[in-house]
Amino acid sequence: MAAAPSRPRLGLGVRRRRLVMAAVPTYAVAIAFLVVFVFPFVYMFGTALKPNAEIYTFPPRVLPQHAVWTDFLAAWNDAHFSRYFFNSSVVAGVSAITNVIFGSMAGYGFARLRFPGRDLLFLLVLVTLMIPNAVLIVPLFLMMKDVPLTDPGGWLNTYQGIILPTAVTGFSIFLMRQFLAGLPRNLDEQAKIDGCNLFQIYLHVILPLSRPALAIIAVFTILTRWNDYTWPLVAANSPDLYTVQIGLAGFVHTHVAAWNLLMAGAVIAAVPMVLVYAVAQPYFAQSLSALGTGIKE
Amino acid sequence: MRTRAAPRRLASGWAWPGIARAHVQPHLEAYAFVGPALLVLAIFVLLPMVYALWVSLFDYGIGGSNEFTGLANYLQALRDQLFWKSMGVTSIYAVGSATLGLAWALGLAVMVTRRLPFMGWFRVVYFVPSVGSIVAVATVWLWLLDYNLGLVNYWLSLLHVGRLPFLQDPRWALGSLIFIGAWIGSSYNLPIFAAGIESVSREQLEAAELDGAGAWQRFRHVTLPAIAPISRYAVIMAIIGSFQVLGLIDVLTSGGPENGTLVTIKYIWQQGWDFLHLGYASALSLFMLVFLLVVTWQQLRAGRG
Repeated sequence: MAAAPSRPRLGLGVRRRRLVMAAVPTYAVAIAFLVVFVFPFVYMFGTALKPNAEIYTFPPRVLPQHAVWTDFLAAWNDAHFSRYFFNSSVVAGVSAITNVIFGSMAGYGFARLRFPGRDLLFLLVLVTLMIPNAVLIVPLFLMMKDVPLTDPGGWLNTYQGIILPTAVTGFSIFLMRQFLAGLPRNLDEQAKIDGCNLFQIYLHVILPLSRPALAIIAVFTILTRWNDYTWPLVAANSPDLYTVQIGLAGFVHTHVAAWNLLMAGAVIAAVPMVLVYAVAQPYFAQSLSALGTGIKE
Repeated sequence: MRTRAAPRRLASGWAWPGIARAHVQPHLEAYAFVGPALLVLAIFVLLPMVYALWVSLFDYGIGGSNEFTGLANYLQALRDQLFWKSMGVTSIYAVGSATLGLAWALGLAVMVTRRLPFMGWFRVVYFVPSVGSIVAVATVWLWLLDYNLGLVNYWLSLLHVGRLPFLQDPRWALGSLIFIGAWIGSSYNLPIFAAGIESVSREQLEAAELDGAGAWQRFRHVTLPAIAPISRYAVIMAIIGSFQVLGLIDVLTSGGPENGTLVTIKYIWQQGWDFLHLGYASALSLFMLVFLLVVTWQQLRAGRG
């Protein structure tokens, strides 16, 4: 700071020009990577708007000459993406609600309450984060097939079968606990002195304060459940229960060269989550700092 | 004392066993908060873990024909060349896509955390591949890398390179998957690294600058050590994620050509659901779990030492 006045002062124009010149390579790289990350989505959309005849034109074009919406209609109606879309929405929506409710309750319990076995139980929650889903699919499949008091087939091909294994995840609990750990205790202690019971404190003090954490849990749950592939593939073997991902993966094998239809399906699978991400963008930075504090502990 | 305690206990309607009364009853409310979530995790994560062990001891077919065979599935797995080949393929994929993806993410994170206009905007858009579902992303790459009509091969033909068998040749196919995995991984890890870089203390960086450290030295000796814990977490998650790439494989290669991209999760799927050897599939998935735990433990130990 003290050295600044002794430096020869450049005119504002020269200085700004130097700054801009120094930043040019950075922006060139930034734009190059923008193309790398976004171009596949542009091409996805462009192909989905092409009429059949334009898929095989040479040289290939990124965007159609005559954009049509017929591919989307064909994918939505004839290829049953409307059904898959509905199933994915149910799975993602219900999972988000159950994760917010039970994840926040458990996170509150672990962050604020004292009870025997608390640390051991929380360690178990962390252990569940380490287990890859791939290890669980065989036993979960057999359990869902033979749920007591159900018809043969159990809960395979049911919404509860798809949803229950991730109705609340260790991640949701962990996130809520980390968030509350960073929140001063005096508000809920004041409520306790005022004679509130634990449930009233949770409902009227903790939940309103935790809105950012609840939003992150909801958004992350929606993203992961919508994009989930392995468990829904195991749990749903009838097209009526396919999620968008399972429907699209099957569509790839049944419509091998119908690229415009495939890309329309891909847009239906991808775009809703891009929109969710765009809307929920402000919460993402917070969630990552929450993760950061978790690692450093 | 004892005679007095007894009526009070009965008045509550339910006589609690001594230990439970002392340890559980005062905390019933707390258990009510954590109970539902723990029940879900116990039934759908911990119980299946134990059940996987149990199932792996049987010659388990879906039709109900199951016979206790002890460790036969494990002995078979040890001799199963295709399984070990799949572990090799997965390891190459994991190391390749994690290394490339994390290095790529770190480089971009350094760039987007520079205090320049629009960098925040780039940072937001770079994340899009991570939210656009893996199956949709795989489908568009299938189209881009198509041998005859794909845009990438068309561009290469403009450069007089000729068509490349991106998904038709076993080695090219694994290379293509590594690239796509790194593409997604770099997008996903970029904000994690960026948050790490931003949390590095300004004072330390300024002190290093006063000591005459250049930009690279500041990065190497201040920033990198500061983000080491986050990096270790990212490496562990990237490797665990690499072992679960079923969606990418199913769309792009189905494990072919010539099993060149047969990752372990795909092989487990084939054993379990194509051949209905569920006991064997369970044994294989436990092998995979042990392998991942060892890798994770190594990573954590390397961080401490």
